[in-house]
Amino acid sequence: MTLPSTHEVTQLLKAWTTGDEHALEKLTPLVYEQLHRVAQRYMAGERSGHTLQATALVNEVYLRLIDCQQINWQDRAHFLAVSAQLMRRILIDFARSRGFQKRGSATPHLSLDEAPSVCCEPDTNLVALDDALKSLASLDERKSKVVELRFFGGLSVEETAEVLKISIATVVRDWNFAKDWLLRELNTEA
Amino acid sequence: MELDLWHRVEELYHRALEVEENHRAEFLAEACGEDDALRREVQSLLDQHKQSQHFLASPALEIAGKQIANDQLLRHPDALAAHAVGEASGLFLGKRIGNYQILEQIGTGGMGEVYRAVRADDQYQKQVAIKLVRAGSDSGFVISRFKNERQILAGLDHPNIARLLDGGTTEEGVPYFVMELIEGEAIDQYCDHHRLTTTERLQLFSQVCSAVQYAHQRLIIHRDIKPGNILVTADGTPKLLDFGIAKILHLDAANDRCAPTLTVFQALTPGYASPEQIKGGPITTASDVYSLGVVLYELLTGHRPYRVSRSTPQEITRAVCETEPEKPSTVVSRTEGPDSDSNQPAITPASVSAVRDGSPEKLRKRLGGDLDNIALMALRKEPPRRYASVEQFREDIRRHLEHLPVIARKDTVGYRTTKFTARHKAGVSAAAIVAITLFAGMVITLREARIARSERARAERRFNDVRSLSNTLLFQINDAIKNVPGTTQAQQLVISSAQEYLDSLSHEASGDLSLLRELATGYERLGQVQGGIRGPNLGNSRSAIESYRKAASLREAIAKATPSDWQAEHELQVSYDELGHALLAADARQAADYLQKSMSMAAALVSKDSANVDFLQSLVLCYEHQAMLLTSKNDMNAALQSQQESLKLAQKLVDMAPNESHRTDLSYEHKRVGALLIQGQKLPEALAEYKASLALDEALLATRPDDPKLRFAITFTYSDIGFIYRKQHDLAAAMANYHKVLDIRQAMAEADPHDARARLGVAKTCGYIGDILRDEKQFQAALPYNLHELAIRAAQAAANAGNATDRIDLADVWWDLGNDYRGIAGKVKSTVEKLRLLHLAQNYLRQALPVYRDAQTRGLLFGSEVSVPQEISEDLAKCTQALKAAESVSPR
Repeated sequence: MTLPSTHEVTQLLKAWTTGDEHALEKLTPLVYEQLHRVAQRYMAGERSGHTLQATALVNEVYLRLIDCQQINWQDRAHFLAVSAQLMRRILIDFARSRGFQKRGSATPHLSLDEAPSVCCEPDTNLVALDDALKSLASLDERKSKVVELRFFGGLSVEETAEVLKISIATVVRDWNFAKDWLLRELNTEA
Repeated sequence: MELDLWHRVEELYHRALEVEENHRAEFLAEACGEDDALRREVQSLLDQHKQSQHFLASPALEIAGKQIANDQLLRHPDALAAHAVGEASGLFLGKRIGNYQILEQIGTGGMGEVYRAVRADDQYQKQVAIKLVRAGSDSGFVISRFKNERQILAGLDHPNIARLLDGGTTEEGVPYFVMELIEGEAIDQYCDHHRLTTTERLQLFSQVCSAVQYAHQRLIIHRDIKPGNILVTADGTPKLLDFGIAKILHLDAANDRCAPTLTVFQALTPGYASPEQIKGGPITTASDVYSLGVVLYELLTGHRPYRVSRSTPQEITRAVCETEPEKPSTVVSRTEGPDSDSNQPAITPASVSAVRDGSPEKLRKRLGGDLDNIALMALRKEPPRRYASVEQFREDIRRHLEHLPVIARKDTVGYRTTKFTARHKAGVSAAAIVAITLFAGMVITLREARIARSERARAERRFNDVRSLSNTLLFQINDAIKNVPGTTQAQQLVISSAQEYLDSLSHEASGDLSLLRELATGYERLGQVQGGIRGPNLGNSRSAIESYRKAASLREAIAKATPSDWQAEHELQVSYDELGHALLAADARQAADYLQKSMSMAAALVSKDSANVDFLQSLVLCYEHQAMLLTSKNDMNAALQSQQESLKLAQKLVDMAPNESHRTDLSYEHKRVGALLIQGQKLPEALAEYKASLALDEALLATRPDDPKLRFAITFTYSDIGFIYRKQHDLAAAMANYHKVLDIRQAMAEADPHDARARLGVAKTCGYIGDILRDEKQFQAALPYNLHELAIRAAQAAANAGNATDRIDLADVWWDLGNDYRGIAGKVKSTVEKLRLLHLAQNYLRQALPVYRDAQTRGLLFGSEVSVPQEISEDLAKCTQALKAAESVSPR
């Protein structure tokens, strides 16, 4: 089993957007490879709590996905949106498969003090977040997209603005509001 | 929720956020009037706002990765234990750090661990001390700081200072210092164990002062003087450790201030830190005078100058900043302890005097007068009221030892008045304040003159730094590290310090055209690096844009000042182009404006001087960037036209001046046109462009056949061409190109066995070729590729024993091989041969299966990998079945 080449990825992504679930299966290892690397870094005690580094990793996934030299995406915005969706889908599938249940994970997590964790960041339950995000989408589609692009896609504010064709200020406002809204939903649920 | 209500909630939420936090409730109550449900809804969102700052701060990938790690650690207690050890001390025992072999741990401190080590390549086996810095999240800061100071510290050469020999960061990114190994006792213990008299103690202390004085003359402040940092060797020589390291660790670089109080407590030893250190004031040589004062006080009396009931930060702060220490001659009559918490025996007049001057009475007399005054003068709260320098402090000790009158006096009336004014500011007459200020001012002036001189020198040095930084350093460093995995943070650091320097120089540059030009260049290069870190579209584009903007505005100023200067005009045009290009991803409209401006300027310049290659080259870029802009707008035909224009001009440029850089550019423009053609599904045309590009690349490589960078780069062009052929279902041509890739990577891997990138590149290409062949059911043909891949993966797994990923990669090849053999077996007629092949296949599949199963139980398989054990089982079952079938017809 070999990871798909960058050439193939482009085609796979397109196939996936037209509903080919098999394509998703082929793309998943790419994301998992990076996921695995993040995990290994934590395991090695390397403090990858730096968002900077994490972002670099996410970007690396994209670099693997797009073959910048090869293919000029006709619609860059579309590509970024699809990639963020892909990341969300794969990561949530992952979280579900590993038994991270809705209310907290199946296995207790190490407390933040014990684990070499991201400073001050509450442990985010991805599955619950995904559900909350779906509720948000039913109320306000755009805000849920902003979260999807930024959190799952790892896009910057500017990139998010570009994808959604809205102003940077709107992205920032949506992002703030959505985060508070989601957090409230998660907190009330727990 | 109704849409209308949702919008009202949102609107109120944003308006409330603009109101100061403690007025929000009030604002809301007013804005919502009687609609209590609305108010509660908005309030419940605002309640999250503080916490939500950290919510979703890391990308999902990071969070998921962390969860896997935590999960793993919980499931595997061993891993957890190893992890804990790694986090705690002893991490480096038996390991090598740089050129040093760690022998044993010799200490732990607030800062990190200290190890005894030996230089691995040193035949004399000279031992050193290595201090690892547990710097936490600030390590980037620490490393930058460290690099700045290392040179200066390494220059400290004094018999009473432990030398800083070397330093760096471990592979794990932990900064470390290599220091002269001092085998000795902390000064206070040494004095007690050797029962040194007060005079002997003063003599020893005076040597310590000489070391501090030496460093101060070189403008280095210790910042963390305490008995534990002053070791006395067996021959009685005091050695001061860790000079300047506190500064590297904990100082705010900009203003030489101490970090906030709590950090100081973690970092420094609070009992010895001066009031200004604790309060976060400016640190000067006077802070060292104070800490020396504490050390002297302890050496003379056996007591701390402050007694605190509980060692809380608040308690210590209060004691250090407010309480006046007792006179040494009276404190020795006091009994303290015993302290059951720290297992300290009681300090009594007898115990103190027994290791000093004999009887309590004798000691009290010895300390009274001069020594009371000297110690208390060093310990004064206000820096200007202490000794003006360590030199003066030491001189006073010398005068005391030689029975000369000392400078130190009892607290003056003026001093007490200061304390009084501090407490009752309003009640003191203006005249008194003036008198006091004048007095204190005299002391300060002397010291400030010295500081001012040194700061000017520093400013000049800084100025030179900027020039070298913007011109070379930034790029040398960045080039050196940009391909090294895990250096993203370091790169960021290089960039941010470069930016800081440039910004600081901007304030001083006005009016000096050559300097403005240099600054603009600096910003442009900075922009390139910022944009280039993670690829032009995904990287830190915002800061790159900022740098380009700054450059452009500087260029505008220069062009304005020199209206007839074509060069300045050209530079401005280039600046606009770079800015426009950087804006492509962020703001298409602005990008279009700048690119348009740049294009018309460039065209005008070319028409003014058609022989100028620089002007023409800029125009090439203008068209290329326009093509990018059009691509992003999805206007593919126009993009192609623009790109083709760019290509045409690039060709013209090569005709004019066929140098290497122009030919490289031309090759690149061909590829860009080719990429656009692939988009339009015009594969034959695209192929022609790639071939033109390849011809140029090959010609270039012919001039420098041994340039590994060029050789490796061309493999990607071949691979791209192979890709087009594969899309065209021209398998033979695709293979031919993949083979070219293989040939080059293979040769490189053989030429340099350490070139892992080439070697693993070979494995990867082999895997791709094998996959294509297997898809075509050409199992026999796929076999050698997979076998070659096997050799590489097996060696890799052996070299990295324990690395799960390498092991899985290897198992993956086994699986492929199993299926290759199974496929071949299906095609052979001879039963004997079929059996042999199926046995081989079975062996490979049997080898692969447990690796995958093991990986699965350890939770190392993800996504579709999860099903691999099952798939292998199925393949194995088929293989076994085929074996049975073959055996049943076998003559055996």
